[in-house]
Amino acid sequence: MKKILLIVLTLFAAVGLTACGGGGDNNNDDDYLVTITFWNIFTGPDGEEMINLVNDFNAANEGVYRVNTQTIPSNDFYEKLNTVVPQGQGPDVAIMHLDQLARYAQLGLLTSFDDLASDLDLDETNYIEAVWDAGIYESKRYAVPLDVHPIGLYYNQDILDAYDVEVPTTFDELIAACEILNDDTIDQWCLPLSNVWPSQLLFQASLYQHGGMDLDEDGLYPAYNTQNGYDALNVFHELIFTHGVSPVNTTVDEDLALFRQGKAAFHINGIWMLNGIIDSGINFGTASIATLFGDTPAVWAGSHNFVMPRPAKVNEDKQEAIVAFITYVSENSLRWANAGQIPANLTVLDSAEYQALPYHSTFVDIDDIMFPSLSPYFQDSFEPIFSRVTDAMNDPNADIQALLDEAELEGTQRLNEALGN
Amino acid sequence: MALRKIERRKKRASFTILTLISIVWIIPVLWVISTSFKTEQEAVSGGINLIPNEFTLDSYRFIFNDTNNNILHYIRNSLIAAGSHTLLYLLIASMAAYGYGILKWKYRDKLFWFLISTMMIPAVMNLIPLYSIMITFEWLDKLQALVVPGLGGVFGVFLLRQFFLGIPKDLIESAKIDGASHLQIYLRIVLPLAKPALIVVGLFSFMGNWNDYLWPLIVLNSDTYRTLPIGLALMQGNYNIYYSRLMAATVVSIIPVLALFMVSQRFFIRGITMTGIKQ
Amino acid sequence: MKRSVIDRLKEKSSLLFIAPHLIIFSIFFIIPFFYGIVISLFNWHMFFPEMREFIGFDNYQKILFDTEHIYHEYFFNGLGNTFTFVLISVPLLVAFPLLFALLINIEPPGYKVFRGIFYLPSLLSISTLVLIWRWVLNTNVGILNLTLSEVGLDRIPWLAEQPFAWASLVTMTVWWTIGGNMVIFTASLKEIPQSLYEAAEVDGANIFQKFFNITIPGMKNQLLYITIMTTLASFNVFGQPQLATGGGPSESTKVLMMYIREIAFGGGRPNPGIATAMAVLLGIIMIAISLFQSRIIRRLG
Repeated sequence: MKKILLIVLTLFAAVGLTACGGGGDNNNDDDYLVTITFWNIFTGPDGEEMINLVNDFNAANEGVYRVNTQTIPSNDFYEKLNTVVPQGQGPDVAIMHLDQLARYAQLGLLTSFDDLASDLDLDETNYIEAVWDAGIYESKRYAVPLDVHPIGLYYNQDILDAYDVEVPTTFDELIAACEILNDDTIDQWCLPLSNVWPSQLLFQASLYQHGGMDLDEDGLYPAYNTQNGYDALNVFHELIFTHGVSPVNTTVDEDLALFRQGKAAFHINGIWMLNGIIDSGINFGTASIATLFGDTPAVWAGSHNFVMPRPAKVNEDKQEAIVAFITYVSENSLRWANAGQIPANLTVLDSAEYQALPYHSTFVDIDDIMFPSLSPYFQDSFEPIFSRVTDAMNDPNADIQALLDEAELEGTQRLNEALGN
Repeated sequence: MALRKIERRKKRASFTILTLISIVWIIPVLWVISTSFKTEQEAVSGGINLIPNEFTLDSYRFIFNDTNNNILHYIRNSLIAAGSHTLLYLLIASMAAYGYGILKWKYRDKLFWFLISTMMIPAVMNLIPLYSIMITFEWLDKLQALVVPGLGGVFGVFLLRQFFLGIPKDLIESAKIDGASHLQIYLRIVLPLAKPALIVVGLFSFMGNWNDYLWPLIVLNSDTYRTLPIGLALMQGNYNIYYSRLMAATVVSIIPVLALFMVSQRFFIRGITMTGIKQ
Repeated sequence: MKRSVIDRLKEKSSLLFIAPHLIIFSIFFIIPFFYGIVISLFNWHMFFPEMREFIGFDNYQKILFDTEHIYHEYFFNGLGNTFTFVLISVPLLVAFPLLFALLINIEPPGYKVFRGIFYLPSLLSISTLVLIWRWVLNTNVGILNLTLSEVGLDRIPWLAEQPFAWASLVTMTVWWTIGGNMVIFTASLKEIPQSLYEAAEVDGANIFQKFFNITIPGMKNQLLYITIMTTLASFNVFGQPQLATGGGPSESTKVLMMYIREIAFGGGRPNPGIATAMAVLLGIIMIAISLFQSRIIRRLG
């Protein structure tokens, strides 16, 4: 008898647990409270600041709105979005990278802000123009920009002082500096370069600086297999194998580790890495890479944007809450700057507090920022170059032209598949 | 005399070789443990020392207080998922094993060997359709998705049936004569006798569920039920430049299975032996 | 007459014992199996059913024969990488456990502790495994490279360059999974009658002759079981390259499972029809190879 009881009990326990899993919503607040779900992709230190922003918004709107946030790493996020939104189980509002916007808008997974019943009281003159325009797909607005995150140069002030070297702004200056700064005897490197992440961003910057393009005018086929593209890619091959600025076969974050250890004079990474570098206690400064690889000033940048995944059915109360939330975060985006991003809001950018931040204003000139082509086919056509950038930086005998050919072929094939040809 | 000498020499040689291999075997783990107690500065500066220069619990403090992805939350989720899966599976599989092993009916063996033969079908073939089924059931991001599909597993049924076949027929026959129903025989005779086999099957299904990576990765979206393997893989991204935190998380993730192994090593060994020998 | 009706009822009700398992098994194993074959014959849209379209064997044709097609390239690159992994890992995953089992079978002092140490890693999850090994293999501050530079050798980019990337993946797999095989071998060594060895010694057989003439034939069944199970497991390899190398360098460790998952669920443009067709093809290959193996080993025995 005891045994039966035990089995029945465990069964109940298990089923009970399962049932608990079913109904997640256990807040019994009054009916007037509007709750929205918000998926963000900030897994690093910036994630904490975003959660703080959400908490403060909730506190300021107690009894009116509440935002429940969920942090999902970006790779998973894009996969999940594909699956949950069509079932009407997507979040009410989410963060999306600029280069994904067009694709998800095209797939029909986003709601346009133009369709909002209540007006989004945002003034476009308040935003960096390029990033504001990037939120538009087929003349409808699908995104409200939160920030801009360019890549830039971090330099070790102590090392530069010791060798009396200036921060380089051109390729020739970089090479000259590296000849002095590379020092085998003390295991010191000039510019360690990871051959994987974020090397593709460096390549994009180099491509634009050489006057090249990622995709053709129509935003369809690969356009990087040109002389410009060749030069852009060859830069990294030469930096490593001709000029020896970096240890070979450096992989992701090992470049960063060397800089954090004080064994590297320079490091190129996104502005999002700022706090990670401050943490290391290195005496450092930041500079723009706008003309470091080629003559046309250009800095690769991405941008985080608020989007509204398509809901199962439109709920005007929720839309109101979304608008209130986006407005709140945008107005408070100076805090976002502290988390290591550049706010997209010009009012914040022009504020004295922002200007006083030690590393942000030297990191990039906003006018130099170049975004990738805003095409729903960007990933299809452009992604194949990523692993070839790695090859160029990995293999001393790499055939740059062959790598570009391969990438172009794969990009074309993937695009044809995507277009249904 | 000479034979014993050779025997002793053999033992000594084997002991030496095994000691050397064992050291190589556990160095990775020692290196991880050692890093987790180092300061971030020391971890990143690359000393080969296994004893930290400066012993600190900072990394543990950090990961336990991390609200963004909390390892204790993931451990709790994994315990709930793997625990409820295991209990339900033991019930369902032992009933099925009773049906295929003790009961006698017409197509019993045919059906059973059909089940066994499906074990040849690689899991990857079912992955995508199974996911479609989860969508239909609206089970995505729910605990059921982690617990229920695996309950159809054949392996535990097979093991338990093998064990049940070894139970003396007389015991069951005499119970029948005493007027016991099958439910009574199953509960009062078979299950108590099968305790070691149940423990073995329980351990395996628990470990299988606990360590599963691909399936939870596919069906879970949010942090609510995120299990330890997925949570850890996340941390690899989040803490990527904070080695000592990452290693602290690794150490914490090892502790539950280590504890389980400590108390049940002999069952593990016995269980594997059962699977391999009874072919 | 009356009795037999009751008996039959009893028999029927006793079938209730298998019902729960059989129902769940059907829903989550049998239906997906056939459903998968159906999906692979469609241009399958996971979320907008109205966009699904029956295309017969087009997916298979694209994958297998359309050399212009990107999925053809992905499939064969992935399959080639999977085969590479299987070919390197399976022999080691059989040989090492066998060696360890032979040593443990001598039963030196503390042999149970050794057995525990070798078995322990197989309890770890894939994420833990990769975290450990990425740290050990870290190019700059991993213990392996630190040791190498201590003795004056060059640092090796373990996960970033071939052939080291394969070596690393296989090493961590060996470390992770040999425990189970070792325990099975240990147990089966015990079942070989000691008298056979004694008789061979009388005949003057050396240690290798004893190994090949007595030990190996004596555990033919376990050898077959382990080889097949290990091969199947190796074909399913996914987590190690996914988490440790990300498929690099140059997609050279991107195994078929990684492609299948990416094509089925990846951001961008999921194509479950193609992914399922690839999975079915992989399944057929795996079944064929295990049948082939069992025939070979049976013939050897």
